[in-house]
Formats: sequence, structure tokens, C-alpha cells
Amino acid sequence: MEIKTLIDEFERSIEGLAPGSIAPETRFQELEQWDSLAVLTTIAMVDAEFEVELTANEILACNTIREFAELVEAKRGR
Amino acid sequence: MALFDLTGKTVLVTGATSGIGRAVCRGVLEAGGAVVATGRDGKRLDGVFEDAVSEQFRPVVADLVAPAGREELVRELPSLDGIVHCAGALDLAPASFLSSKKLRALEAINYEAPVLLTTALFKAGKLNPGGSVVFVASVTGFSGAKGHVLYAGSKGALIAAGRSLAIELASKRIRVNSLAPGMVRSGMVEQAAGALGDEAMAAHEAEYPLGFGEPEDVAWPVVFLLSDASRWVTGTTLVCDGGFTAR
Repeated sequence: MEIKTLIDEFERSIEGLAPGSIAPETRFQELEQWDSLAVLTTIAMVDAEFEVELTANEILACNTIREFAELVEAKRGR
Repeated sequence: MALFDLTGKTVLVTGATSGIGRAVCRGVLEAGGAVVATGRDGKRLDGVFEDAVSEQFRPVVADLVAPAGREELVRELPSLDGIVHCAGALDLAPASFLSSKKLRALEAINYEAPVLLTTALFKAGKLNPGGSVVFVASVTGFSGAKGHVLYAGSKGALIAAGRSLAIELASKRIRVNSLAPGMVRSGMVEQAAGALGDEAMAAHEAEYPLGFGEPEDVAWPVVFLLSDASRWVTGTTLVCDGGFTAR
């Protein structure tokens, strides 16, 4: 999985994010749009698009989008 | 306090291995009633109630979602004085990721199973006059929350169906009420924490004037609704939420 694919899906699914606004080093939890619904949406998005099941705490343990992508990738490999 | 006593009454409790179901079983037994407890998993059912099995307690394995499972259960059950529908499921998802599969799955266990099991028992003549049916719903049945579209819809439907059932069964002196809990410390709360994160759960609990509930906090109001102390109460919803929706 290319990190670009994940970023595209992330930008598409979280309400209010402009295309191109997210980079690998973005600290996504500091985004204005990041709230409990965004967490739920991220869980649903990785499940629907990458067939990966994550818990909120796993996502919240990531600082950057790159770390999040690594988490998704690691889970996909299993 | 004899009116609160359940001696001589037999109560069906579905979803008996869940936190609330288990507490309701113990509450009914403590109030003197007999319990028929259903769950999908026989081993879990036996494990949870190891110390409770007696003449007053009978575990039955049943799949309430399958029409055949309900039919079999109805045939097997004795005449009942009460039913407490605790079996249910939660699936949190944002509005942009809902599907008809998810909707049907929640509706099947949260709405179809309790309603059609009740009506099948009624049709089979297994609900005694003076009996009481309790649907364990949720505050989301009338109060909105992010991610709860499908769950709330299934619980709101249950509450609405309960009111009409109450009207229809009143001539047989059978009462039907719903109980709407807020967050109760059970498997479902752990599931919600998995979807929202520990921090969001702590923030949510801060919105409860009395904090999150324990399963027993729901079980005692259920015992009241089963007992003759509530004999004039039907078609209503008892909110048990530590003051959450009072704000």
C-alpha cells in the first residue's frame, strides 16, 4: 500500500479536509477536524478500504500519518 | 413490600450472558422469581451461572435471530409471567460508512428478535395474564449520538413497537414497557471504548451526573417493571441513565 493511497482515503472520508492538505508528517490528531467521529470514521475507512480492523486506542497511539500508515501496513501483512 | 416480590413468577431473560442480562437474572432470583435464561453459547451460559443453577434457574441455548430458533424456543418454554429482552448488539459507524448489511444485522437482534419472540409467545398462549414484558432499549432510542445511526434506529423502533404492543395486549392484562439505559459498564462499553478510545470514553462519562452505571443499576428497575408494584405502568419507557439525558 502506498502512503498516498491512505492519505487520499483519509482526506476523502474525514469531513472538512481539503484534498492535498495531508502529508506523511501531518500530526493528524492536532487537526481541527479530528474528533471522536473522525476516529470512528477512520476505523470504518480502513476496514472498508484496506480490510484492516483497528481500535481507537491503536489509532490514537500514532503521532503522524506515516506512523498510521505503518500500523495499517503491519496489520495488512498479517 | 410484597408487591415488589417475584415469588411464583417465571421470567424469560434473553441475552443472559451479557452484563445487563446476567444482573437481571440475579435480580429476578433474588426477588424470589424463577428464571429461564437464554444465550447463544451454551458453555458461556453454564460458566456464567455455575453457582445459580437450581430449580429456580434454567439455562436454554437459543439463537433468537433465526426464525427457527425462536420457534423452537417458544415450543420449549413454560408459561411465563415476564420477559426481559436483554439480547442486543452494538455497531458504531459514521454515517458515510453505513450499509444495508450492517443495518439488517442490528435490526435483526435489536428489533426483530425481541418483538417477534414476544408476539410468538403471546400467540402460543405462553404469556400469563398479569404478565410483564420489558424491552431493554437505550437512551439513543430518543437522544442522538455520533456514530449511533443504526443502533439508535433499532432501539427507537423497539421503543415504538413496545408502546403499540402495550395497547394491544392490555386487554389480557399483559404490560409492555421499555427500559432505556445510558452507558452501563458491560461488554458493550468495552466495545464502545474500542471504537472511540479511552480518552473519549472518559470525556463521555464526565457528562453523566452520576457517572456510568453498573449492570445492577438497570436490573433493579427491571425487577420493579416485572413486579406487581408497577401493575398500572404500561407503554412507557423508564430512563436509567444516571441523569445523562436530564441535562
